[in-house]
Amino acid sequence: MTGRLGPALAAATLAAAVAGCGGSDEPGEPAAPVVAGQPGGTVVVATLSDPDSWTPYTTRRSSTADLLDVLYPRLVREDAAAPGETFEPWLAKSWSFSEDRRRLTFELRADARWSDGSPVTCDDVRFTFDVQTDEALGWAGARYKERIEGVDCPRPSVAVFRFSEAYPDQLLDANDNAIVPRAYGDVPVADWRATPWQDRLVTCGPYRVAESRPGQQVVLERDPRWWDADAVGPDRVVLRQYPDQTSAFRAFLAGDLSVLPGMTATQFDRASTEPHLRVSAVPSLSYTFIAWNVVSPDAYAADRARRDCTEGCAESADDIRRLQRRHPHPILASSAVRRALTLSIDRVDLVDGLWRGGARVTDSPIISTLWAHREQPAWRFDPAAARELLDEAGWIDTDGDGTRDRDGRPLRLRIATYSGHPLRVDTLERVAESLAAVGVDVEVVLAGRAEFVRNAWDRSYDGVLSGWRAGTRVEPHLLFHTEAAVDRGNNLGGWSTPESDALLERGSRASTRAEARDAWTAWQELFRKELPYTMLYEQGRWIGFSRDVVGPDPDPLNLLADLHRWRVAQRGSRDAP
Amino acid sequence: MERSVPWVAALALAVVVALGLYGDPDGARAPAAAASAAALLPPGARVKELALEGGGLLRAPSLREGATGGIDVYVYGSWRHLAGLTAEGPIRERRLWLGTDQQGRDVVARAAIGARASLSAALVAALVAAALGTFVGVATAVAPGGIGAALRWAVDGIVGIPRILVVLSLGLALRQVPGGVGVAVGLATWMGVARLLEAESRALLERPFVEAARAVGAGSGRIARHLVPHLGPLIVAAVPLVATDAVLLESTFAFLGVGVGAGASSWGAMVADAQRAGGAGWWIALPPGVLLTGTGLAFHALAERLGGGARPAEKREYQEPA
Amino acid sequence: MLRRVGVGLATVAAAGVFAFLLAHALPGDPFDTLDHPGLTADDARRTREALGLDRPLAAQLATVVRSYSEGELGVSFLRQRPVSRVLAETLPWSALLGVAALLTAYPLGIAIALMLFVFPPRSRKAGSALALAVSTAPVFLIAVLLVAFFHRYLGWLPATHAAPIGGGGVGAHLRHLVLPTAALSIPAAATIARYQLAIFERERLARHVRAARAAGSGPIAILVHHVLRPSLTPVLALLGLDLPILVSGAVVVESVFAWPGIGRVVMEAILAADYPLALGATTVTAVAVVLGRTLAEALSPGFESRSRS
Repeated sequence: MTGRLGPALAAATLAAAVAGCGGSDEPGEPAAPVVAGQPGGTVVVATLSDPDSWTPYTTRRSSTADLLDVLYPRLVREDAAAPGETFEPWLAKSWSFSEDRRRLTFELRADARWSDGSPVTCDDVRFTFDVQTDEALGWAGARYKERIEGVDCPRPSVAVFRFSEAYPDQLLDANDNAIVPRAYGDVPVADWRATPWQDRLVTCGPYRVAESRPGQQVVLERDPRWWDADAVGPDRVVLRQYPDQTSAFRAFLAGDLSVLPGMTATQFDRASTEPHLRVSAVPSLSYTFIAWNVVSPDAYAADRARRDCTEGCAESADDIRRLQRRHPHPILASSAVRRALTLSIDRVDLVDGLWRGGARVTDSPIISTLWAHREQPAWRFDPAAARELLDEAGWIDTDGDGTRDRDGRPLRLRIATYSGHPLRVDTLERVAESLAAVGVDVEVVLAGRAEFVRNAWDRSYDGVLSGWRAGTRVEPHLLFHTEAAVDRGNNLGGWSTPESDALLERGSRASTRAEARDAWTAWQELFRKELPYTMLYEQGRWIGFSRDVVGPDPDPLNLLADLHRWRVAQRGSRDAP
Repeated sequence: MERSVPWVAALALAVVVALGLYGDPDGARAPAAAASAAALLPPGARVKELALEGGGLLRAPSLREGATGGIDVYVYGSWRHLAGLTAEGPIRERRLWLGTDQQGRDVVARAAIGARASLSAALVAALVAAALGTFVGVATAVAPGGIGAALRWAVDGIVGIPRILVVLSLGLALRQVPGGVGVAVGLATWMGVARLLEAESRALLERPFVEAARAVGAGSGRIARHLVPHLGPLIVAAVPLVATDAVLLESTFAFLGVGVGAGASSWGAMVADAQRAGGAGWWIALPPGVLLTGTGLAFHALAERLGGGARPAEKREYQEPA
Repeated sequence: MLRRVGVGLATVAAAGVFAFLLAHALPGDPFDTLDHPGLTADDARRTREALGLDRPLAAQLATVVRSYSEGELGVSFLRQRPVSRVLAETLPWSALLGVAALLTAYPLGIAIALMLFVFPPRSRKAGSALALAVSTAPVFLIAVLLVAFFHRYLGWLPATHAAPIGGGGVGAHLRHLVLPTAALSIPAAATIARYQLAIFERERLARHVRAARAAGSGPIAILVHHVLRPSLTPVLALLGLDLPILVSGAVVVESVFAWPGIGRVVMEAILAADYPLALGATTVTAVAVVLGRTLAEALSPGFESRSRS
């Protein structure tokens, strides 16, 4: 699946472990002028993980999805400047809606060829739709196909999507995800996940795979069959894998890399002093937060055990509501306490220190580049006000040990994050100190990946510090609706209210943008009052370039999207150092 | 081995223990606000510190109380006003001999907290490994035929599992338990002790006192009880060796950042932090580097002293890489 | 012989079962990802059901045993490729690094011991103490220092990967091999040097050396014929014990230097709870341990009794 589909919890992706860095508010440096350089040469891009699969429907990593978006064509390309609103032609030359907006017709390029020589036709589009909606594969994006009834092929070069109703995101839904070749159909869909696709890749894009060495690198070479092959810049693209961000940065300083997708604040400082490097700030469409658990972790676990839910049970929204009502979290169920916690955290310093200003304090989970974002003043750092709120809530340090308590229970929170993400670990350590200063004792839990995800779903932590890679869609309902809390859903804190549910339903089912905007605005105002998440920051991303690479600013949706538009000065061996 | 090394090592160990016991826990804390002001200060930097009402502290090269309440901190070339903070006591000035890390923590104080974490994990691990190793080792030697052989296969089998799997799975499972990291490391290192004690027990079995016990009809359990006092010195000598191993394993996992290890204040985590800061924070790795090597040296010297002579062939078994 | 094979197989089986149980003690599995709001715990459960991971542990173990007995190691969850293939891709690299490290560590260790042995006592003590310090320092510290000095400061050697970006010849591969090999072999050499020095010292006191000296042999001849030669056998036996390093890989070194070996795969598999891969790698390691012990015993018939007395 892809990062574009919606928020992708970057915690789970190693790529984002690093890449979530950068600046959006203030452009770091002016973009390099695009010069008409000679095509050819090699671009070396750092990555942190192997591709885990070679089709968009079997991968679980957004870093892999980014690569696959180069290898397989989408019908149209999204414009990152106006996510979800404007599109440019790609495999489809043009598209149009019928009168009632229930039929969307794509006119495909006649000159598109798969790497095996066969033409890309509507058959491939229809085959892809069948794969996407096949239960046996269980593709996560299938939800975006629910309102598509089918794909018709009146001619090989025309694909018609039939919708059950008209709604704002129809083009986005039809366009998710890349088209895969009909030739893949000889493998039953149920076997797709266990198929070694790299032995039989059939692709259609500016580049094709020349070499894949696990743990080392993936080499792409220009595909002469591609429809716009003459416009492709670099001959080769090497995705060089580094074990961690530190060694990738070292290689970048040494001049081994053309592109380093993401760096930390200290690394940004360091790279800025090097004349042979430049750093671009790119919005990353992602944000970092702490989700507060509003249901008592012990009671939740006991309740699920009683209902025999460890491997799934018929949980309903009513179960969640009952738990919220009967077993509220002894500390975090109170919105005043959640606000106090938010006020105690010096978010401005996080943005300064960890991001050198390349991030933005926000109190909305709909990020500022999206059309539905509601501009509101963020809560200011104010520990005095936080103390007052905690006093009022009855949390007072009666025994003088520095930690507040109430009815003999100390104000202690277990907040967890994924241990493999140094920036989040740093953030959590700072948060813990800030909260200690207002009398809240924080136990920092650094968990391995699988463990972190499992326990976050099981709501066994009091707080979960993580991040979502926000997509181009506006879909807070996937994160905050009561239904999203059912059966270990992605409503990580289990917070919901009838008012919020009603607004989320209105927003997600609106048939026009204007109607949706009203609902999202009201919902964001409610969110700011309730604070089910403490939003830490909406981050940008610093992309490092060597000076010999020029081209358009990187696409915030996918750094690799514009590879073919770059130009690189020829130089000799890039062997380190 | 030469005389002076044990003394130097004992001194090193004493320094580590003293650091752990008397280290300044406040210095190891990040500032509660405006932490960036104190981040990555070089060795010898002077900072001002201020305790905050209600808890927490501020640390920055320049600090002052605001004219109308609140506190001003100098961050990135300008003064930032922090309303809502009240000083509790005067502004103190301090010199940080080894500078600060990315979070504005005093590197020396953090290393001291790390000493505490490392040594306690090592102690727990050593005790667990010694107890389990002794039990299995002696049992393997004295148990009747089939059981003994089965135990030996089992130990060989466990040695065959990558240690990282043992430490990770047990470490994650036991993390909530106090000393859990130590227990996990102990459970990953006892096999060497078991092999050593099995060999020693076998040798003892040839001795006349065992023959005598056998002659009067003593069972395996009784013979084992006769053996243990004779094994005492060897067990005592094995403890520091396992402890060395435990310190190394714990710091290695903290360095790799996989969620097992003593956490942020571990020495391994400090080396990882220094690496992450690139050239900008080399000083963060100084104390953990020196302390890790010194502790290992000290434990080895201790083992040699206790064991009364080198047994390099057996010790080699502890040196399998993590 | 037959008995030895039987014991070896039993050992490997024991390791496999232990590893299986440990791997299942880890919370979560790779299907639990919070990558996408549409990919919920429910989807993960369906995948688990499809792979039979929702069945009781004993039934799963039975399946694994059956497929292993047919030589089938399963498919890695994480890499979506057969485990045997992942192992085949990574084992040679680990073996290369391991062989390089052993070939460096043993001659280096013995050379250091020899050097210390002929030194005057005072320098010998200092050198021996230094060797002890190096042998107890954590491998990651040595690796970090090597990178800082030879890669960052001097700029002589590459610090990551097994080959340069554009591929390259034997020379380029060798350059990439230097730092990981050094990080693995330096502490090992220090240990070997200490061990060897202790044996030298014991041999020097041995009766036949004294006899040779009395017979008027020169110091060099004594060293070579009466000290070095008889003391090499036990060191070579140690080599057998080091064999597992060849295949189990050195997790830390492979991680720091981005070496494409099995050690990194094991760690990745364990962290992501990729049971088939973790189990496959464990089996390979266990086989190596068994072979190593057998080799150690074969190389030095007296080794068994000596190490056990």
